[in-house]
Amino acid sequence: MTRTHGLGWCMATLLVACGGNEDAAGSDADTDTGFTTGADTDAVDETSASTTAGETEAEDESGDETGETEPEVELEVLSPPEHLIRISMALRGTRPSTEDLAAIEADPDRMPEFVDAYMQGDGFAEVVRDLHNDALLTRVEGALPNYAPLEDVRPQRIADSVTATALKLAELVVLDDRPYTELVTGDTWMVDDVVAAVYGITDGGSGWREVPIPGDRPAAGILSDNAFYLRHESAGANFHRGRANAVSTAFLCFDYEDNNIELDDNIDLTDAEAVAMALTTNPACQACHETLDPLASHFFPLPGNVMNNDIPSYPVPDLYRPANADDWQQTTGRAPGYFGQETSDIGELGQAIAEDPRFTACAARRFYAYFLQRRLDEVDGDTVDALEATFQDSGLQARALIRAIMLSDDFRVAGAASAEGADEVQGYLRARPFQLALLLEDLTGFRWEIDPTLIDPGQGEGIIDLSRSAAVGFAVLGGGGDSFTVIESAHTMNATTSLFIRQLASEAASYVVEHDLREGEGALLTLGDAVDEASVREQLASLFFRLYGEAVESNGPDVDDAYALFAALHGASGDHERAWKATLAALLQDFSITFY
Amino acid sequence: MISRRQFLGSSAALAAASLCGIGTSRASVADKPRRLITVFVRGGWDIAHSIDPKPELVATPDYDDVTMYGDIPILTSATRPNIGGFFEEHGSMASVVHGVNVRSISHKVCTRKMFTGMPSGTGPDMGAIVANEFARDYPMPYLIVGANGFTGPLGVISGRVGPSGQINALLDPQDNFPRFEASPYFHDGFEASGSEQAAIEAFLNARAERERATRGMHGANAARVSDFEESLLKGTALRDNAQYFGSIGQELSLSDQVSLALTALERDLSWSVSITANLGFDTHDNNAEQGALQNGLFGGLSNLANELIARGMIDDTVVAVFSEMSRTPALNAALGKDHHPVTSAMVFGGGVAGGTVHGGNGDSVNALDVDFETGSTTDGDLRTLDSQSWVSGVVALAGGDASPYVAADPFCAFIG
Repeated sequence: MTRTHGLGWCMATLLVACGGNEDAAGSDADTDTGFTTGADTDAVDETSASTTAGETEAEDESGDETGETEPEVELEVLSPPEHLIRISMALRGTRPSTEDLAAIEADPDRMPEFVDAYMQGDGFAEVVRDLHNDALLTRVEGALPNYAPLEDVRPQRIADSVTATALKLAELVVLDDRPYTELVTGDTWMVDDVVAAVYGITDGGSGWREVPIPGDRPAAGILSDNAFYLRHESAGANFHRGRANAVSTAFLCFDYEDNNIELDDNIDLTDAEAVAMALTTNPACQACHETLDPLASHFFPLPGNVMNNDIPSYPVPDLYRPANADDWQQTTGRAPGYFGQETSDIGELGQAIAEDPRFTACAARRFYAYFLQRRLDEVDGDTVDALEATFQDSGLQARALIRAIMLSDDFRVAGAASAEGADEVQGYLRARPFQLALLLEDLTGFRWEIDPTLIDPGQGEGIIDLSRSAAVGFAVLGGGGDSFTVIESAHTMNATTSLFIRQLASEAASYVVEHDLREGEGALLTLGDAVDEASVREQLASLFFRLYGEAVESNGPDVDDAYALFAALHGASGDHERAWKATLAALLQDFSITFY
Repeated sequence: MISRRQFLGSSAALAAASLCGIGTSRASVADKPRRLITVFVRGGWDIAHSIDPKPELVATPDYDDVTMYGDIPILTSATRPNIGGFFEEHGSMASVVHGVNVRSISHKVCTRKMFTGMPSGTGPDMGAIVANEFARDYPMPYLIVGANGFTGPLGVISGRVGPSGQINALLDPQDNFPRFEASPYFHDGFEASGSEQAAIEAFLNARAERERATRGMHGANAARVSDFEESLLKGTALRDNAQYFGSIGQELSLSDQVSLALTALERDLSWSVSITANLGFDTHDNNAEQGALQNGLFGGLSNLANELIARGMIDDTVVAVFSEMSRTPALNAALGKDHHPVTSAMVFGGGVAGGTVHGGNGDSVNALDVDFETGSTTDGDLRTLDSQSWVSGVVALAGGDASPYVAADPFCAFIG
């Protein structure tokens, strides 16, 4: 492969200590490269074949607790243009413009400038929502009744809006550079016209907008938002403990469910009173319930099932009922509290979370894990510490945290330089289905949508995006999740993800070829109906740069293969439009599209 | 000449022999590789209502008696005939294991543990392990037709049909999501012919090999390149078998899932299949619903067993039936039961020591220690049976070896 930009993919290497993965089950994302924050990125000598061991922070931390030295793994890193492509895909699901690629090749020091530029717009907003959904799991597809005034809206569309509010709030906090603590202390809701109708908000606005929290609900950001409780329901007899754990897991990265439960044979489990007593007196039970139950007691003002099928009409009555706040007295008997600190309601709970060092550490861990495609427990403490320091220094602006990750050495890892230790070095990141949708829309202008009103006008308004929908479309089959049964995205390919990408690529190719060649709009194809070899080769070279960021020669080996494909297809059908559809379909499902 | 299946049989028997039956008087070794169907009873079943009969804990008057089927005691009732009916017909090829200590009351964690043996969910589950060992070259070695399945590093051999059978829209797109001219994204479409698709795949593979020669040479990167290439092959193979996947529609019922599973196994599309009985077993309110729910479940299991017999597949197939947890011995204030970290499970089919019951739950459904070879709770090497040994045991029953993924001795007593 000819790569003329930068200095090539292996122009620099890093030596890092590579921690072993002790999980016998293995993982497809077991990279532990150590971490160097963004400001240090330029310390990697772009012109050298390798850096010395002392040039990464991880080298200083290479000994484990037993004093044994972990083996060093020599890593290769991305060139600046490749790094820019990865950043652009991660932050907004699209490729850098050809101008940006040329600019970064000319001046790699401009990387922070591009990172900031890419943390804008709809694509980045969707990435932010997706990132937070990994923690909140609120993006669940369902249906809510289309009562007046929403009788012309599809029930699924209503549910989409109602469940989106928490993620829209996270988007607002991040894109508006508000202190990240507003995630749990903010005093506003995010609503669109559908949500406003459901909850009876009459602010006169339109589109997604920020409104004051209605009613008597304390200000607690997402904890004041119904979407969180809609997703994390509470079984009546469990007294909101599930919700408490959802809060702890999402905001503190502390999951009570990670603890093993060892039944004490001395407890008569057939005696409800004995069990209840054990929760407060038996050490094995107390270990969790001592803090879990007080957390749960904050949520008694909210019904266990926030919005069930019994909704009679819109607007629904206020779901927050302060009169129920003391119901803990008749159930667990534990007053609201935050790990030993007295708190009274969700407002004080949010404040306590915001002041807890685990909150910022958890954010650093989550952001890193999301962008590097690791599990939370794979992110080492030194990395968290370094990121958290950057986060704190910025006044808790999430974009500063993201910037540090994007510019880190870890985010530039292209792979292992040799076989030794290579199993634990993940040099490819896999695009999620929504990222592929963003990418192909940017490249071709195509969105893979269906409009149910075209099939059955009686269903009401509401588009279904097949790349993003798990219930109707291919979000799960394409490797994403549904926030319920599949809560982690796949990091590799299988038969159905291959079929998803094949079909998405074919649809987009068909669309763009018809538009570009028939209508002369030239979004991607600019050669018109020319089929001579020189024109086709020039077009293909242009496509390689636009699609993959690869500056290849029109007579080079990559274009040789692509031209051979086009020529064979054209020769067989005699139809240049069909040949371009097939060629573009191939180019759009390439390895370099799926992985970045 | 030795056939592929004969070869697999000999190697698998060796693997199983290294794990079960060594150094004991009992030879609990699977005699050959078997296909695996897992039936996941989602939500947490109340085992007192059926396979761990404790009438005093059922607290509803709709049971008649505890009936023995071989050595298996089952709570039966005229109002839920399917439970007794299953064991009447198929108890001789079924084995029940009690006292599986899941050590959690979280749906999420327990589900992961009962499928994979591990709490993290990053490892492969039983179906993925067995399929990877015996049928990696199948179009979709591990088929997840229900909601639940964990593939871990074996993602490339696994695939889902989707909650409403969306796989059909990928196998035959034109029939399922028609294009409308009124759409701003309307186009005439492109469907590659066989020769065009072959040319496309050749191009993609050549590009992938170039990637392998540069960044994709080593370790995890090389695995990604291989997965990419393998997924192309498997995707095309699946499309060649599109007619067997039914049609897109509403949520797949238990019966729908069974039908699809059997077809996939019978046609050598898959070696393992995961089915989810998503019937509403999480009865925090009104636990009496467990009776009807389990009646439905065992009706579905009878259907599955009868179909396996009718298609001549029963001796080559193991079925593992399990829930993520069980329910508390006592009723709560809502007359429901909450989550309980000790459960029971069942296997049936080929190679199973039929009509047997192993392990034990105490009076308050606490796990009794058990000998992994004999299943006795009183004699032998008594140990805690946890989810790891359950998973390892099912894999061994199917002739496989879970040790690369699960570091625990397998529970072997149900191997015939």
